[in-house]
Amino acid sequence: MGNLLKAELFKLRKSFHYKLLLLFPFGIGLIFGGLIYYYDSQTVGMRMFSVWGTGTLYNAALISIFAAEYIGSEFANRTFAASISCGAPRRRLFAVKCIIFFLALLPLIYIQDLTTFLILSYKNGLGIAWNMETAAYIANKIFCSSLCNLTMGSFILLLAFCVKSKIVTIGLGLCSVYLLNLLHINARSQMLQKVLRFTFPYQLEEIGRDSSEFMRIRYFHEPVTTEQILISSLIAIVILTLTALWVFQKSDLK
Amino acid sequence: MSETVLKAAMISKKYKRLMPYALDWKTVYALDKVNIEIHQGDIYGFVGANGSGKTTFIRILAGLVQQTAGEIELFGEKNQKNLYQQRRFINGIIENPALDPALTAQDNLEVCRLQQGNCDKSRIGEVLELAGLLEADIKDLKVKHFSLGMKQRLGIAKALLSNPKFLFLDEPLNGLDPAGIKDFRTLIRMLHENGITILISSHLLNELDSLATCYGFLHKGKMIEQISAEALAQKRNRYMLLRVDKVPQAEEVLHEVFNISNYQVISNDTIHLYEQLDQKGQLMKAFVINDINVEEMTEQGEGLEAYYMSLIRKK
Repeated sequence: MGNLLKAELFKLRKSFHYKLLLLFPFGIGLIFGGLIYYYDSQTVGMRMFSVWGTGTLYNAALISIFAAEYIGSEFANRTFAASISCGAPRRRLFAVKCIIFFLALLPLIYIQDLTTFLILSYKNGLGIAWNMETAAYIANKIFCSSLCNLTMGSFILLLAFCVKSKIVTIGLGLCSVYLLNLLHINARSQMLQKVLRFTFPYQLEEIGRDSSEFMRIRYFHEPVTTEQILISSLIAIVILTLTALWVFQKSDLK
Repeated sequence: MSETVLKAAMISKKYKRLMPYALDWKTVYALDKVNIEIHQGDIYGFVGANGSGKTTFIRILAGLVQQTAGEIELFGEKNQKNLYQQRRFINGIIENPALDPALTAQDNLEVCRLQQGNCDKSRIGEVLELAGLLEADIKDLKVKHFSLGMKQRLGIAKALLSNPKFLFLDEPLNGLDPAGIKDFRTLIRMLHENGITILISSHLLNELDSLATCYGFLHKGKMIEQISAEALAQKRNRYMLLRVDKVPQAEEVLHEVFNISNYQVISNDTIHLYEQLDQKGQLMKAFVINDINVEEMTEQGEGLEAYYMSLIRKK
């Protein structure tokens, strides 16, 4: 497994597409930060934390493109087949792919928010006293939004292993997250509401909820706790990842 | 008898295909109870038409496709779940080489080397040199800029990286120019001399004819014949016609130098030779050294292609 990890890290290091993907949100972060820097003297750094990593559709786009490139290209180039045919067990190959996928996902999602946060804090200050309570708040925000984004990541990972096509992964990833998002905004049934609060679009929106200027147009609202996010995310990640593993083990590879 | 490298018993692979007009599922057998045995040091020539099941079998061997029935035994390992451990000693190319187009030739091999973890960095240079890709402007070029022949060479280099004991090559001559085909032939002979077992599936039957030590003929998913090269040569009435000026001396050369006993003296200037038919160059050299004039040295008998076609017609 160590050898497979080394190989995957080498591939990621050499990946021009991943570097390009990182550059895009970094550039957007610079643009937002720059605009705020010149035109807004009131928005403080902590404002950024209230929406840290909660752009569901935007994150879905980044994750889908990354999954298409990282997983889809392995099917397209048949490099999965090459690894398996010289003795790499499918389970280990899958595990290594997942580890690197999840590790590489978070910088991709957070680089924009981090860039804007640094620019905002530099210009207008953090906006809050730096103490244990602030640190705990920040850690909790990052932890919860990471879990929700990793859940979204495992959902798109499953799609990538099922469809094995780059274009379809991007399309299906975006469409399905968009539909989920639409569902949780427009859900009227109480039963459905109770289920949807355990899904990542709802939870991501709840994490960003303490920014009161962002009006959430939804038929219901029920707060979620960190424990609920932790349990529902872990369960979802495990189920989705194990399903993706099952699909991969049963697939005939070209 | 040499060690058995691969034993495939009653391998079947079936697919269900939807017949749109009949709205029914049809079962298609890509492989139907195929038995194959390959021994240490063999060059196994896998012959079959398009769609006969050769690539499907190689995919099953490589662990990419699960067979519907039957067992694969690799280096004596029968437990299907532990076959992946034996697959560390095999490598090969299936149809087109599996390469990352965004990486250079060197980086592609480095990824492979890191994954396998059983060779050091110097091996990359060795295999690139074997494949004729060591020049600086090639090894640092991204694979997406490679021609088909260069990709094929890189695929062969990748297959040789871990010094496999068993090499499977599915259509390895695709895209190779005549020089590349010649280099490939030399490479296979060198690997064979080093004791590596090789399975080659190719449509270029002339090339297989000059390389293979045994053959498997596949037709519509069924193995119709497995035969050694010597037995096949006799079946095809294949022989080398030697017209020399000194028959007794020529006989001596065949005995002493090449240890050949399977020949027939037809007349006072003609010998029919039935084995080592691919040693033309060495035979000529030996005769010249022993002051024997060779007036004719030609292969006679049914070609492999004609033999294969006659096999198919019988089925």
